[in-house]
Amino acid sequence: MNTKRYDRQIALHEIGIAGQQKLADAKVLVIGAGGLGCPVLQNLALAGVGYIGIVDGDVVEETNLHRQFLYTKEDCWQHKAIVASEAILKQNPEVKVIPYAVHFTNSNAFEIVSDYQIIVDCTDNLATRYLINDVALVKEIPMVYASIHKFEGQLSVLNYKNGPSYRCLFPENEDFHKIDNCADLGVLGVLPNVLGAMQANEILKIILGIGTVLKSKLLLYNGLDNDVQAIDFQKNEAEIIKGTQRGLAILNAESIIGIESLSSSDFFAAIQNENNLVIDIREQYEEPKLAIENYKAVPLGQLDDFLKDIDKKQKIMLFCQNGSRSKLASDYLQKNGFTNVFHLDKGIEALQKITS
Amino acid sequence: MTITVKYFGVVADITQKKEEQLHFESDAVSLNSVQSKLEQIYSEIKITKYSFAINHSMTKGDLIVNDNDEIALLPAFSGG
Repeated sequence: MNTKRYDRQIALHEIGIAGQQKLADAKVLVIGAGGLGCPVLQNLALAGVGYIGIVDGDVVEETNLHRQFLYTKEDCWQHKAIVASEAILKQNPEVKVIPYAVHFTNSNAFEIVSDYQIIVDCTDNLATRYLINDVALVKEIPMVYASIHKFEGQLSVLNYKNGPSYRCLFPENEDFHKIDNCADLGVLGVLPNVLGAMQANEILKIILGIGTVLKSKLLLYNGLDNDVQAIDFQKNEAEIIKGTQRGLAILNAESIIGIESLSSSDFFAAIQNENNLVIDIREQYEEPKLAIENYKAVPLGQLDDFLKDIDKKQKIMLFCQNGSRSKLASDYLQKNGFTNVFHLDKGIEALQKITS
Repeated sequence: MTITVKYFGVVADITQKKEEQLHFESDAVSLNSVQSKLEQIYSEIKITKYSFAINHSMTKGDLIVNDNDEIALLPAFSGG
Protein backbone atom coordinates (compact mmCIF):
# COMPACT_ATOMS: atom_id res chain seq x y z
CA MET A 1 0.00 0.00 0.00
CA ASN A 2 1.26 3.45 -0.96
CA THR A 3 0.86 5.30 2.33
CA LYS A 4 2.03 8.68 1.01
CA ARG A 5 -1.20 9.13 -0.96
CA TYR A 6 -3.19 8.65 2.26
CA ASP A 7 -0.77 10.52 4.55
CA ARG A 8 -3.25 13.21 5.59
CA GLN A 9 -5.95 10.76 6.65
CA ILE A 10 -3.48 8.32 8.22
CA ALA A 11 -2.39 11.30 10.33
CA LEU A 12 -5.80 11.17 12.06
CA HIS A 13 -5.25 9.06 15.16
CA GLU A 14 -8.73 7.50 14.65
CA ILE A 15 -7.43 6.06 11.34
CA GLY A 16 -3.66 5.48 11.30
CA ILE A 17 -2.01 2.72 9.25
CA ALA A 18 -4.34 0.09 10.74
CA GLY A 19 -7.41 2.04 9.63
CA GLN A 20 -6.00 2.59 6.17
CA GLN A 21 -5.48 -1.17 5.90
CA LYS A 22 -9.13 -1.72 6.89
CA LEU A 23 -10.16 0.56 4.03
CA ALA A 24 -7.86 -1.29 1.61
CA ASP A 25 -9.44 -4.62 2.62
CA ALA A 26 -13.05 -3.39 2.38
CA LYS A 27 -15.51 -4.48 -0.32
CA VAL A 28 -18.31 -2.01 -1.04
CA LEU A 29 -21.06 -2.32 -3.66
CA VAL A 30 -22.56 0.93 -4.97
CA ILE A 31 -25.91 0.52 -6.72
CA GLY A 32 -26.69 3.47 -8.97
CA ALA A 33 -23.95 5.64 -10.51
CA GLY A 34 -26.01 8.82 -10.84
CA GLY A 35 -26.30 11.97 -8.72
CA LEU A 36 -25.67 10.17 -5.42
CA GLY A 37 -23.43 7.46 -6.88
CA CYS A 38 -20.84 9.86 -8.35
CA PRO A 39 -19.83 11.49 -5.04
CA VAL A 40 -20.02 8.16 -3.20
CA LEU A 41 -17.75 6.46 -5.74
CA GLN A 42 -15.25 9.28 -5.92
CA ASN A 43 -14.96 9.57 -2.13
CA LEU A 44 -14.58 5.80 -1.63
CA ALA A 45 -11.88 5.52 -4.31
CA LEU A 46 -9.95 8.56 -3.07
CA ALA A 47 -10.07 7.28 0.52
CA GLY A 48 -8.56 3.98 -0.66
CA VAL A 49 -11.51 1.58 -0.28
CA GLY A 50 -9.87 -1.45 -1.87
CA TYR A 51 -12.67 -3.14 -3.77
CA ILE A 52 -15.57 -1.16 -5.22
CA GLY A 53 -18.43 -2.61 -7.29
CA ILE A 54 -20.58 -0.31 -9.44
CA VAL A 55 -24.02 -1.45 -10.63
CA ASP A 56 -25.85 0.67 -13.21
CA GLY A 57 -27.58 -0.42 -16.40
CA ASP A 58 -28.09 3.12 -17.70
CA VAL A 59 -26.01 5.14 -20.14
CA VAL A 60 -24.75 8.69 -19.65
CA GLU A 61 -27.09 11.39 -20.98
CA GLU A 62 -26.49 15.08 -21.44
CA THR A 63 -29.12 15.93 -18.79
CA ASN A 64 -26.98 14.09 -16.20
CA LEU A 65 -23.94 16.31 -16.71
CA HIS A 66 -24.95 19.23 -14.46
CA ARG A 67 -24.68 17.03 -11.37
CA GLN A 68 -22.98 13.70 -12.20
CA PHE A 69 -19.41 14.95 -12.23
CA LEU A 70 -17.66 11.70 -13.21
CA TYR A 71 -19.01 12.11 -16.76
CA THR A 72 -18.28 14.43 -19.68
CA LYS A 73 -20.13 15.16 -22.90
CA GLU A 74 -17.89 12.68 -24.75
CA ASP A 75 -19.21 9.91 -22.46
CA CYS A 76 -22.83 10.31 -23.59
CA TRP A 77 -24.52 7.00 -24.52
CA GLN A 78 -21.70 5.00 -22.87
CA HIS A 79 -22.54 2.76 -19.91
CA LYS A 80 -22.33 4.70 -16.64
CA ALA A 81 -20.84 1.73 -14.77
CA ILE A 82 -17.94 1.52 -17.24
CA VAL A 83 -17.27 5.26 -17.53
CA ALA A 84 -17.50 5.74 -13.75
CA SER A 85 -15.08 2.88 -13.10
CA GLU A 86 -12.55 4.36 -15.54
CA ALA A 87 -12.97 7.83 -14.01
CA ILE A 88 -12.35 6.78 -10.41
CA LEU A 89 -9.50 4.44 -11.40
CA LYS A 90 -7.84 7.40 -13.05
CA GLN A 91 -8.10 9.27 -9.76
CA ASN A 92 -6.80 6.34 -7.73
CA PRO A 93 -5.31 3.41 -9.70
CA GLU A 94 -4.53 1.59 -6.46
CA VAL A 95 -8.11 0.40 -5.87
CA LYS A 96 -9.97 -2.38 -7.67
CA VAL A 97 -13.19 -1.41 -9.40
CA ILE A 98 -15.69 -3.90 -10.80
CA PRO A 99 -18.32 -2.46 -13.16
CA TYR A 100 -21.67 -4.24 -13.60
CA ALA A 101 -23.35 -2.53 -16.57
CA VAL A 102 -26.75 -4.07 -15.81
CA HIS A 103 -29.82 -3.14 -13.80
CA PHE A 104 -30.01 -4.63 -10.30
CA THR A 105 -32.92 -7.08 -10.51
CA ASN A 106 -34.39 -10.11 -8.76
CA SER A 107 -32.55 -12.43 -11.12
CA ASN A 108 -29.02 -11.06 -10.54
CA ALA A 109 -29.19 -9.42 -7.08
CA PHE A 110 -27.64 -12.15 -4.96
CA GLU A 111 -25.08 -13.05 -7.59
CA ILE A 112 -23.83 -9.46 -7.75
CA VAL A 113 -23.86 -8.87 -4.01
CA SER A 114 -21.89 -12.12 -3.43
CA ASP A 115 -19.23 -11.22 -0.85
CA TYR A 116 -19.53 -7.43 -0.62
CA GLN A 117 -19.70 -6.20 2.98
CA ILE A 118 -21.73 -3.03 2.51
CA ILE A 119 -24.39 -2.09 -0.05
CA VAL A 120 -24.85 1.58 -0.91
CA ASP A 121 -28.29 2.54 -2.18
CA CYS A 122 -27.91 5.34 -4.73
CA THR A 123 -30.89 4.26 -6.83
CA ASP A 124 -33.70 6.45 -8.12
CA ASN A 125 -36.68 4.15 -7.66
CA LEU A 126 -38.52 2.48 -4.80
CA ALA A 127 -38.73 -1.01 -6.31
CA THR A 128 -34.93 -1.36 -6.41
CA ARG A 129 -34.67 0.15 -2.92
CA TYR A 130 -36.94 -2.54 -1.42
CA LEU A 131 -35.01 -5.21 -3.35
CA ILE A 132 -31.68 -3.93 -1.95
CA ASN A 133 -33.23 -3.88 1.53
CA ASP A 134 -34.45 -7.47 1.31
CA VAL A 135 -31.13 -8.75 -0.09
CA ALA A 136 -29.24 -6.88 2.66
CA LEU A 137 -31.52 -8.49 5.29
CA VAL A 138 -30.81 -12.01 4.01
CA LYS A 139 -27.05 -11.35 3.66
CA GLU A 140 -27.00 -9.58 7.04
CA ILE A 141 -25.01 -6.65 5.71
CA PRO A 142 -25.65 -2.92 6.16
CA MET A 143 -27.32 -0.76 3.55
CA VAL A 144 -26.27 2.88 3.42
CA TYR A 145 -29.34 4.71 2.15
CA ALA A 146 -29.89 8.18 0.75
CA SER A 147 -32.52 9.65 -1.50
CA ILE A 148 -33.53 13.12 -2.63
CA HIS A 149 -36.64 15.09 -3.47
CA LYS A 150 -36.13 18.54 -5.02
CA PHE A 151 -34.09 20.43 -2.35
CA GLU A 152 -34.55 17.79 0.37
CA GLY A 153 -32.56 14.68 1.22
CA GLN A 154 -32.97 11.64 3.48
CA LEU A 155 -30.07 9.60 4.87
CA SER A 156 -29.89 6.52 7.09
CA VAL A 157 -27.82 3.39 7.72
CA LEU A 158 -30.15 0.40 7.62
CA ASN A 159 -29.81 -3.26 8.64
CA TYR A 160 -26.74 -2.23 10.62
CA LYS A 161 -25.87 -4.30 13.69
CA ASN A 162 -29.39 -5.66 14.14
CA GLY A 163 -30.94 -2.23 13.56
CA PRO A 164 -34.12 -1.34 11.65
CA SER A 165 -34.55 -1.71 7.91
CA TYR A 166 -36.02 0.45 5.14
CA ARG A 167 -39.35 -1.37 5.54
CA CYS A 168 -39.43 -0.26 9.20
CA LEU A 169 -39.36 3.35 7.96
CA PHE A 170 -41.76 2.98 5.07
CA PRO A 171 -43.80 -0.24 5.19
CA GLU A 172 -45.55 -1.49 2.07
CA ASN A 173 -44.66 1.35 -0.22
CA GLU A 174 -43.41 -0.67 -3.15
CA ASP A 175 -46.74 -0.89 -4.94
CA PHE A 176 -47.01 2.83 -4.84
CA HIS A 177 -45.91 4.62 -7.96
CA LYS A 178 -46.92 8.20 -7.33
CA ILE A 179 -43.38 9.25 -6.46
CA ASP A 180 -41.58 10.99 -9.26
CA ASN A 181 -37.85 11.07 -9.93
CA CYS A 182 -35.39 13.84 -10.79
CA ALA A 183 -36.41 13.69 -14.44
CA ASP A 184 -39.91 14.92 -13.62
CA LEU A 185 -39.20 17.03 -10.55
CA GLY A 186 -35.90 18.72 -11.28
CA VAL A 187 -32.87 18.80 -9.01
CA LEU A 188 -30.14 21.27 -8.09
CA GLY A 189 -26.85 19.44 -8.69
CA VAL A 190 -25.33 20.28 -5.32
CA LEU A 191 -28.05 18.45 -3.33
CA PRO A 192 -27.19 14.86 -4.39
CA ASN A 193 -23.50 15.74 -4.06
CA VAL A 194 -24.06 16.74 -0.42
CA LEU A 195 -26.10 13.61 0.35
CA GLY A 196 -23.67 11.32 -1.52
CA ALA A 197 -20.73 12.75 0.42
CA MET A 198 -22.65 12.09 3.66
CA GLN A 199 -23.27 8.49 2.54
CA ALA A 200 -19.53 8.07 1.89
CA ASN A 201 -18.83 9.43 5.38
CA GLU A 202 -21.12 6.78 6.94
CA ILE A 203 -19.49 4.03 4.84
CA LEU A 204 -15.97 5.01 5.94
CA LYS A 205 -17.08 5.13 9.60
CA ILE A 206 -18.60 1.64 9.32
CA ILE A 207 -15.40 0.24 7.80
CA LEU A 208 -13.13 2.02 10.28
CA GLY A 209 -15.36 1.36 13.30
CA ILE A 210 -15.22 4.99 14.41
CA GLY A 211 -17.74 7.64 15.39
CA THR A 212 -21.50 7.14 15.63
CA VAL A 213 -23.15 5.49 12.65
CA LEU A 214 -26.59 6.82 11.62
CA LYS A 215 -28.43 3.70 12.83
CA SER A 216 -32.11 3.95 13.89
CA LYS A 217 -32.14 7.57 12.73
CA LEU A 218 -33.44 9.18 9.57
CA LEU A 219 -31.52 12.37 8.83
CA LEU A 220 -33.50 15.01 6.95
CA TYR A 221 -31.62 17.76 5.14
CA ASN A 222 -33.14 20.75 3.38
CA GLY A 223 -30.68 22.58 1.16
CA LEU A 224 -32.90 25.63 0.70
CA ASP A 225 -32.83 26.74 4.33
CA ASN A 226 -30.16 24.47 5.90
CA ASP A 227 -32.78 22.80 8.07
CA VAL A 228 -31.30 19.53 9.40
CA GLN A 229 -33.10 17.18 11.75
CA ALA A 230 -32.91 13.55 12.81
CA ILE A 231 -35.98 11.38 13.34
CA ASP A 232 -35.62 8.34 15.61
CA PHE A 233 -37.17 5.10 14.45
CA GLN A 234 -37.34 1.56 15.75
CA LYS A 235 -37.18 -1.92 14.39
CA ASN A 236 -40.54 -3.29 13.26
CA GLU A 237 -40.23 -7.08 13.58
CA ALA A 238 -43.15 -7.81 11.24
CA GLU A 239 -41.47 -5.75 8.50
CA ILE A 240 -38.08 -7.42 9.12
CA ILE A 241 -39.74 -10.83 8.71
CA LYS A 242 -41.56 -9.72 5.58
CA GLY A 243 -38.36 -8.38 3.99
CA THR A 244 -36.33 -11.44 4.95
CA GLN A 245 -38.95 -13.80 3.53
CA ARG A 246 -39.13 -11.88 0.30
CA GLY A 247 -35.32 -11.85 0.08
CA LEU A 248 -35.14 -15.61 0.64
CA ALA A 249 -37.77 -16.21 -2.07
CA ILE A 250 -35.65 -14.20 -4.51
CA LEU A 251 -32.50 -16.09 -3.49
CA ASN A 252 -34.18 -19.47 -4.00
CA ALA A 253 -35.61 -18.48 -7.38
CA GLU A 254 -32.19 -17.25 -8.49
CA SER A 255 -30.41 -20.46 -7.59
CA ILE A 256 -32.84 -22.52 -9.70
CA ILE A 257 -31.39 -21.03 -12.90
CA GLY A 258 -28.88 -23.68 -13.95
CA ILE A 259 -25.62 -22.00 -14.88
CA GLU A 260 -22.73 -24.29 -15.62
CA SER A 261 -19.92 -22.97 -13.50
CA LEU A 262 -16.50 -24.59 -13.61
CA SER A 263 -13.99 -24.83 -10.82
CA SER A 264 -10.57 -23.27 -11.45
CA SER A 265 -8.93 -26.63 -12.18
CA ASP A 266 -11.71 -27.78 -14.56
CA PHE A 267 -11.63 -24.45 -16.33
CA PHE A 268 -7.84 -24.53 -16.64
CA ALA A 269 -8.08 -27.97 -18.23
CA ALA A 270 -10.91 -26.94 -20.58
CA ILE A 271 -9.18 -23.85 -21.95
CA GLN A 272 -6.28 -25.94 -23.21
CA ASN A 273 -8.70 -27.37 -25.80
CA GLU A 274 -8.48 -25.12 -28.87
CA ASN A 275 -12.02 -25.99 -29.98
CA ASN A 276 -13.44 -24.14 -27.01
CA LEU A 277 -14.12 -20.44 -27.45
CA VAL A 278 -12.56 -18.78 -24.40
CA ILE A 279 -13.66 -15.18 -23.77
CA ASP A 280 -12.35 -12.64 -21.25
CA ILE A 281 -15.38 -10.39 -20.73
CA ARG A 282 -13.59 -7.86 -18.56
CA GLU A 283 -12.74 -4.33 -19.64
CA GLN A 284 -9.45 -3.87 -21.49
CA TYR A 285 -7.63 -2.32 -18.54
CA GLU A 286 -8.35 -5.14 -16.09
CA GLU A 287 -5.44 -7.27 -14.93
CA PRO A 288 -4.11 -9.95 -14.73
CA LYS A 289 -4.37 -11.26 -18.28
CA LEU A 290 -4.80 -14.98 -18.99
CA ALA A 291 -1.45 -16.67 -19.64
CA ILE A 292 -2.58 -18.52 -22.78
CA GLU A 293 -2.83 -17.22 -26.34
CA ASN A 294 -5.98 -18.76 -27.79
CA TYR A 295 -8.59 -16.60 -26.13
CA LYS A 296 -10.62 -13.52 -27.09
CA ALA A 297 -10.92 -10.31 -25.11
CA VAL A 298 -14.48 -9.05 -25.57
CA PRO A 299 -15.75 -6.61 -22.89
CA LEU A 300 -19.28 -7.36 -21.66
CA GLY A 301 -20.80 -4.44 -23.57
CA GLN A 302 -19.50 -5.81 -26.91
CA LEU A 303 -20.39 -9.46 -26.31
CA ASP A 304 -23.70 -9.34 -28.18
CA ASP A 305 -22.07 -7.99 -31.29
CA PHE A 306 -19.16 -10.44 -31.12
CA LEU A 307 -21.40 -13.50 -30.77
CA LYS A 308 -23.92 -12.69 -33.49
CA ASP A 309 -22.15 -14.89 -36.07
CA ILE A 310 -21.20 -17.66 -33.65
CA ASP A 311 -22.92 -21.07 -33.81
CA LYS A 312 -25.33 -21.42 -30.86
CA LYS A 313 -23.92 -24.90 -30.15
CA GLN A 314 -20.33 -23.66 -29.91
CA LYS A 315 -18.78 -24.44 -26.54
CA ILE A 316 -18.13 -21.06 -24.92
CA MET A 317 -16.08 -20.51 -21.78
CA LEU A 318 -16.46 -17.09 -20.14
CA PHE A 319 -14.40 -15.57 -17.38
CA CYS A 320 -14.10 -12.26 -15.54
CA GLN A 321 -12.38 -11.00 -12.38
CA ASN A 322 -14.36 -12.79 -9.67
CA GLY A 323 -17.01 -14.82 -11.50
CA SER A 324 -19.98 -12.53 -10.99
CA ARG A 325 -20.08 -10.83 -14.39
CA SER A 326 -19.30 -14.08 -16.21
CA LYS A 327 -22.27 -15.73 -14.47
CA LEU A 328 -24.52 -12.87 -15.55
CA ALA A 329 -23.21 -13.16 -19.11
CA SER A 330 -23.69 -16.98 -19.14
CA ASP A 331 -27.24 -16.52 -17.97
CA TYR A 332 -27.83 -13.95 -20.70
CA LEU A 333 -26.34 -16.17 -23.43
CA GLN A 334 -28.41 -19.17 -22.34
CA LYS A 335 -31.56 -17.09 -22.49
CA ASN A 336 -30.53 -16.11 -26.01
CA GLY A 337 -30.26 -19.66 -27.25
CA PHE A 338 -26.63 -20.61 -26.65
CA THR A 339 -26.68 -24.17 -25.37
CA ASN A 340 -23.08 -24.86 -24.42
CA VAL A 341 -22.00 -22.01 -22.12
CA PHE A 342 -19.69 -22.34 -19.14
CA HIS A 343 -18.07 -19.82 -16.88
CA LEU A 344 -15.19 -19.76 -14.45
CA ASP A 345 -16.44 -19.85 -10.88
CA LYS A 346 -14.83 -17.11 -8.73
CA GLY A 347 -13.04 -15.71 -11.79
CA ILE A 348 -9.42 -15.26 -12.79
CA GLU A 349 -8.54 -14.42 -9.19
CA ALA A 350 -9.21 -18.06 -8.25
CA LEU A 351 -7.43 -19.32 -11.37
CA GLN A 352 -4.29 -17.36 -10.46
CA LYS A 353 -4.15 -19.23 -7.16
CA ILE A 354 -3.90 -22.65 -8.84
CA THR A 355 -1.55 -21.61 -11.65
CA SER A 356 0.92 -19.54 -9.63
CA MET B 1 -54.26 23.23 22.19
CA THR B 2 -51.83 24.04 19.43
CA ILE B 3 -49.52 21.68 17.57
CA THR B 4 -46.90 22.25 14.87
CA VAL B 5 -47.12 20.15 11.73
CA LYS B 6 -44.09 19.78 9.42
CA TYR B 7 -44.33 18.61 5.83
CA PHE B 8 -41.66 16.90 3.71
CA GLY B 9 -41.18 15.73 0.13
CA VAL B 10 -44.35 15.14 -1.89
CA VAL B 11 -46.49 16.08 1.13
CA ALA B 12 -44.91 19.56 1.19
CA ASP B 13 -45.58 19.76 -2.56
CA ILE B 14 -49.29 19.22 -1.80
CA THR B 15 -49.54 21.59 1.18
CA GLN B 16 -47.34 24.19 -0.53
CA LYS B 17 -45.75 24.97 2.84
CA LYS B 18 -43.08 23.47 5.07
CA GLU B 19 -44.95 23.80 8.35
CA GLU B 20 -47.95 25.30 10.07
CA GLN B 21 -49.75 25.34 13.39
CA LEU B 22 -53.06 23.57 13.95
CA HIS B 23 -55.48 24.35 16.77
CA PHE B 24 -57.82 21.93 18.55
CA GLU B 25 -60.57 22.52 21.12
CA SER B 26 -59.46 19.76 23.50
CA ASP B 27 -56.14 19.39 25.38
CA ALA B 28 -55.24 16.09 23.74
CA VAL B 29 -56.35 14.41 20.51
CA SER B 30 -55.58 11.14 18.76
CA LEU B 31 -53.15 11.05 15.87
CA ASN B 32 -55.99 9.69 13.74
CA SER B 33 -58.04 12.82 14.35
CA VAL B 34 -55.05 15.00 13.41
CA GLN B 35 -54.81 12.98 10.20
CA SER B 36 -58.54 13.45 9.50
CA LYS B 37 -58.21 17.18 9.96
CA LEU B 38 -55.23 17.32 7.59
CA GLU B 39 -57.14 15.28 4.99
CA GLN B 40 -60.03 17.74 5.21
CA ILE B 41 -57.67 20.64 4.50
CA TYR B 42 -55.56 18.85 1.86
CA SER B 43 -57.64 16.18 0.11
CA GLU B 44 -54.67 15.03 -2.01
CA ILE B 45 -52.78 13.64 0.97
CA LYS B 46 -55.46 10.93 1.22
CA ILE B 47 -53.84 9.29 -1.82
CA THR B 48 -50.29 9.84 -0.57
CA LYS B 49 -48.32 7.38 1.56
CA TYR B 50 -46.27 8.76 4.42
CA SER B 51 -45.12 7.88 7.92
CA PHE B 52 -45.78 9.99 11.03
CA ALA B 53 -43.26 11.21 13.57
CA ILE B 54 -44.23 12.86 16.85
CA ASN B 55 -41.54 15.01 18.47
CA HIS B 56 -38.81 13.58 16.17
CA SER B 57 -39.74 9.97 16.80
CA MET B 58 -41.43 7.74 14.24
CA THR B 59 -44.80 6.39 15.40
CA LYS B 60 -46.50 3.05 14.99
CA GLY B 61 -50.28 2.92 15.33
CA ASP B 62 -52.55 5.58 16.84
CA LEU B 63 -51.10 7.73 19.62
CA ILE B 64 -52.19 10.71 21.67
CA VAL B 65 -51.03 14.14 20.55
CA ASN B 66 -50.61 16.80 23.23
CA ASP B 67 -50.30 20.56 23.33
CA ASN B 68 -47.07 21.89 21.76
CA ASP B 69 -46.25 18.56 20.09
CA GLU B 70 -44.51 18.60 16.73
CA ILE B 71 -45.89 16.24 14.10
CA ALA B 72 -43.94 15.40 10.91
CA LEU B 73 -45.41 13.84 7.76
CA LEU B 74 -42.61 11.86 6.14
CA PRO B 75 -43.10 10.32 2.70
CA ALA B 76 -40.53 8.08 1.01
CA PHE B 77 -38.18 9.87 -1.43
CA SER B 78 -37.19 8.23 -4.65
CA GLY B 79 -34.67 10.51 -6.38
CA GLY B 80 -31.03 9.56 -6.69
